[in-house]
Amino acid sequence: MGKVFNIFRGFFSAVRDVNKKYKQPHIKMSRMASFSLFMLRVYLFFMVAILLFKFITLAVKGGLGVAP
Amino acid sequence: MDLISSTYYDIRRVVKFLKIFALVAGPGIIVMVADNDAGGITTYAVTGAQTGYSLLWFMVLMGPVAYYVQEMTVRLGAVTKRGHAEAIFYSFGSFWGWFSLLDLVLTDWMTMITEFIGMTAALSIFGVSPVVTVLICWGIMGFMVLQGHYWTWEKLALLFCAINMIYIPAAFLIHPSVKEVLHGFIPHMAAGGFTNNLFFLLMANIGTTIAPWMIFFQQSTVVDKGMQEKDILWGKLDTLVGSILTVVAAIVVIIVTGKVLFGQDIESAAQAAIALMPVNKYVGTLVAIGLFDAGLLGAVCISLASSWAFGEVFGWAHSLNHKVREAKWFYAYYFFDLMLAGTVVLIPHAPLVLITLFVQVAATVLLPAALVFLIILLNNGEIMGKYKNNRRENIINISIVAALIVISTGYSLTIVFPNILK
Repeated sequence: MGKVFNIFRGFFSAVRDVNKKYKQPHIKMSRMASFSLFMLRVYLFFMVAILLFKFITLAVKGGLGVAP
Repeated sequence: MDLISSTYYDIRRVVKFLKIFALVAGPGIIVMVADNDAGGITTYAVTGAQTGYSLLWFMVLMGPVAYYVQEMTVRLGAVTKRGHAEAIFYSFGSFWGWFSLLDLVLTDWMTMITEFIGMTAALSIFGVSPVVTVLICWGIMGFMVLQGHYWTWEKLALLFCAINMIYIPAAFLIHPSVKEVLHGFIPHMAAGGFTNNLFFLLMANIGTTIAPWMIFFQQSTVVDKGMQEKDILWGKLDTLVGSILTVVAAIVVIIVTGKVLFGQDIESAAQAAIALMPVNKYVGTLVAIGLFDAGLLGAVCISLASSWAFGEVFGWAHSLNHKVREAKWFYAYYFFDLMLAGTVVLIPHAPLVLITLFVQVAATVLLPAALVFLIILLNNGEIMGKYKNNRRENIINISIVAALIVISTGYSLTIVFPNILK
């Protein structure tokens, strides 16, 4: 039990280290780059919303599909 | 005498050129041929069965698309010495880094499942049970990476790339009409006009041309191979040869199914192989072997793409040149990915239909992000120096990326909402 706990603790610690290391972007953002990233966020929001909608619709209808 | 000496030196020059190319070639050819994975072969088989030779000209266009996107990863990897995942974390911060990494992991894992579906379906034609197939795959994939040498892995992967060309003799065995095949290379509309089905096929073929894992994989391979800025030209040539091979493989699959199965209701490459058996058992056998090889090559590369990405971000040792004890987390993730994907295929009544559907959509979510990051990084003078995109490259690359984003989004929407075009 203690070993498992240590593995998880190590993993979260590694994630924290990664977040700390890459907290800030290291490249100078041009206006075009910033605009592209903004549009990317909008696009991703749209796609994730569609995926969630589809998943919920399928789940409600019970049509998640199984292998033949 | 002059003629003899000049011919001798010409031959020596060509031999030297080929020797250098043999040393540097690998990442480009492997990623491009692996792109013709189980899903890709299925797409080509269905394309041939539904449209005959009508879309051969369209497949030729896919070569430059794949080349221009992938050659950017060669430059980025050789100049920064960073894999794509690490490059995103470093350049854009942890939000975009985590998004890319987690989406890559999810997409790769689900794609791996589709590779195992293809491999088990291919070997089931020869009476091999899915359990045995999965065990064989694990054995081969383990053997490939546990050598402790990148070079050995690369040569083994190139061997599987050569086997992927098995469709070429298959195309010759069915004796297609040369005149009809050549006509297929002249741009024209398929019989029946521009239908919803044709639109879906076109998008599916474009969707299989560039996948997110390819960008991560080739950049990591370039770094692991230790390619330098001076090798960029060779890396581009490697990618060019790979893009030609991938188009050739796609075209011959279409020729095979277009000649023999045209008009039949074919839904997968395995189904095509079974349908080909009564016509010519050798062709059916070659297609089945090709499908297994495609799935295997795809699974190896995709799993490595994720392992490299994790290794880069978490700072684990992450090279195929490391022994297992030196890079235990890198190899642990590789095998974890393989075993999880293989096991899912063996679960009775697993929602494989849903997984196949979502893998295509999830890839569409990641692809625009990976491409946009690629373009931004390739335009950054501080990072790329003299290797940054010039105006001509930007016009070509941004046009391709914009078209890919629009088309792959359209493809994704038609998968999620099949009646959207009706």
